[in-house]
Amino acid sequence: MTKKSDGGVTLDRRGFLKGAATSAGAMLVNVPNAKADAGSVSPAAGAPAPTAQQLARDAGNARPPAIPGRAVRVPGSDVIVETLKELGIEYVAANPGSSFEGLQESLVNYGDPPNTMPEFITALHEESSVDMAHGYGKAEGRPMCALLHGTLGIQHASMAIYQAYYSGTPIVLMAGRDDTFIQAHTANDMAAMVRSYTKWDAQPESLSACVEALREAYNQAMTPPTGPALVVIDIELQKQEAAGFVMPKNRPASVPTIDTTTAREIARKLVGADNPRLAVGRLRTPEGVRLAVELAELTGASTSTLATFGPMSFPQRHPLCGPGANTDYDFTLGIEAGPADIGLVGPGIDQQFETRDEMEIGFGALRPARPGFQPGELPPDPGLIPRFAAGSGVDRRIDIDAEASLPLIIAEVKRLMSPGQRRVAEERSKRHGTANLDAHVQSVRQAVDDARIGWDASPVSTARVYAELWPLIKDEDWCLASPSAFSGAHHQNLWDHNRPYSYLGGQGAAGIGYGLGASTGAALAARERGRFVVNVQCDGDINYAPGALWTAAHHRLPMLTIMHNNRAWHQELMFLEFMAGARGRGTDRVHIGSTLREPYIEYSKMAAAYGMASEGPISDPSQLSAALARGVASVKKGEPYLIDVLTQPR
Amino acid sequence: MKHRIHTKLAALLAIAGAVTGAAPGAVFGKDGDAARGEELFHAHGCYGCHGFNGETGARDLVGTNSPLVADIDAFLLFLRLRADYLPPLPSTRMPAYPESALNDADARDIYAYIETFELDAPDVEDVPALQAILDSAGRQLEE
Repeated sequence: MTKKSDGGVTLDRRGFLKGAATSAGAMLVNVPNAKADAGSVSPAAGAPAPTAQQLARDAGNARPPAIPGRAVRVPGSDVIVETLKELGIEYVAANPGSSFEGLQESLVNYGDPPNTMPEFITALHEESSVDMAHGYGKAEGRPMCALLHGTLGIQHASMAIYQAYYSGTPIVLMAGRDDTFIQAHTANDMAAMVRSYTKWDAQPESLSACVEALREAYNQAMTPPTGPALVVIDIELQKQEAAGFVMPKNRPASVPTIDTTTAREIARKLVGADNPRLAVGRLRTPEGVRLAVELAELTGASTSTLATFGPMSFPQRHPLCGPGANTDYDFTLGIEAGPADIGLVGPGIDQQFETRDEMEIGFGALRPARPGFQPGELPPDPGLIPRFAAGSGVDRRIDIDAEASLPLIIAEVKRLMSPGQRRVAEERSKRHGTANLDAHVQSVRQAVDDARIGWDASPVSTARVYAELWPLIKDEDWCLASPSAFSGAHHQNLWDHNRPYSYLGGQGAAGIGYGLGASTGAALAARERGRFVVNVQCDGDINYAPGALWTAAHHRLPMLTIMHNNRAWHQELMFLEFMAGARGRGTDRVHIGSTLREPYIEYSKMAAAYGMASEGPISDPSQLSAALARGVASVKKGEPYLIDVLTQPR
Repeated sequence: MKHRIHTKLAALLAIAGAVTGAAPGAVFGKDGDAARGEELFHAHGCYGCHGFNGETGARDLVGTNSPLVADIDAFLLFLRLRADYLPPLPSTRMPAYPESALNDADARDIYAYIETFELDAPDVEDVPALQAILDSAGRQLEE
């Protein structure tokens, strides 16, 4: 390969052949399917199966028929890219598809410099594209785009969309639509396939409507309840002449906020309390976190946090975060969390089902399926479904977005507080700070004490993985992007979660196959911001869509992947053991279908195959620290790294 | 909390022993084979919840003073008396082991292997990574 003057890379013949020589085995099996070439695909009911000519064209083996040519000076897709620039979209992740060939061409060629804001991120699977957007959205509190190819891409992406919906993460999805090519790749209403678990969708019929739809999708994704929104874009809109097109005026969305009277009432209670407290849950953006900190510091209130369970919550080691010097709180304000005397609880995605679930699929426990259903009946893991903890234990619930309401409350508190009350709050803050620091040290001491157990065990204990990594990254601007429930969540008390993106939490719908893609997306957010992403990667999870390893290597993303390789879908193994026991049939065969053995999967080789630096498997715990140091050094140089560690089950 | 649960289970086991007429130390005979027990520990997936060394899993076996593994009689009674009901939610609790699924001899061998487990928990000062974490937290206290 040779470097281009603009920093890009061109592939010369020698470089291509060098690559071919190392993958000759793969080329041998990559023979085109003779039956498909002969057009012997069975016709299916409904949409016609692709014709031999269509398949040949799709495979690039046919000369297109002569069609009337048309010269386009400004393609419509340039306008679409301009709209994405206006929205501040940094990345569009996709694997290529003919239904958005016009848009892809504009993404990589339009603009000065081209392929920037947004940059085209090459994914190997649509599930990965959306998982990347999911991880990015959690880290930044705003969307990037995933671009999907027709009916095929939407269905590939559907699982990841489902998880992002449950986690309430903003994403702008775009899907190409082309009803003039392969009929199986299109549909009249493609968005219907995921309508139940997207917040909003549109299929605009003009370029102007497309611009408006993309803006609306962005606004829908960003305003509470936050979540994924989809715009289906016809290929004709992408290819049409847009010379002279005038961009419609943009009107940014606003978020409903608390009324002044209620804000004043809350401010009075905070200022008048001897020992106020804030219960802080998951906010929407880093600005929400900043506002929560400002309110706590202003009022001298101790706070609780969900920062060890997910993103956008109060800094874990802030002096005011903890039980405080006095746990006899006389007024608690809930900020998307309980328990509290008054709780501000923004709209949750469950409220969308009433209008979006047209087919009445009735997904999951979000829909109150039984009379008397209470959110508290859900598994008590706020990292999985943080929204559901928001209204728990709240005496007086105010259904309004907390982040949008905080500025009014802060303004009222400032207006009400006398100089004397400010001094009292400052003194209280100092007492809380001392008490919380003591509690912090005690919790670290306990976590360290627990982490000692099995320290020299082989396979390696999961606590040792987290404990040995921490000294190497604690001075970095780090982000733990992978869910940690399956690897013991030892970071919760061993590490300090002080930034909105310190820990990105669970999968959303507790479905696996998410971790690698989401971590790759978090690393996209991290790359331009000097952050360091940690991905403690479960082995069962990585095998759903491992191609994101290549994306991370290709785009040189700052991501350290440490395999939690327990050679099983271990949670299911334990479930199955209980089930076999309950039926009295023994547990000696439950490894069938729930373990990854015979043969074992070699993840360092998997990473190497995708072009990522790697090492392992490591089963000797004494080798772990040096391997982690090599991994950290590699990532800091701009090269992602994978370490395969054979671990204890939990 | 853990101690209270153990106390209740110990009482339950004592009652069960009385009901079944099991005399401590007399019912199940000789000691097991730890080497064979290791194979069975893996084959039956015991490591799944208890870790490969009985100390790192979701349910520790060593260092807990659990009466359930205090001796072979308690262990066997615990295996046999596990409830055989299907819970409403997926469960990771201890499976039931009737004799048809795990005979006495195999259970004794597993127990013999469990008895070889030792708590591996070095002092914090002997583990630089852990000491560094503790020192870092302590420094904040001093500041």
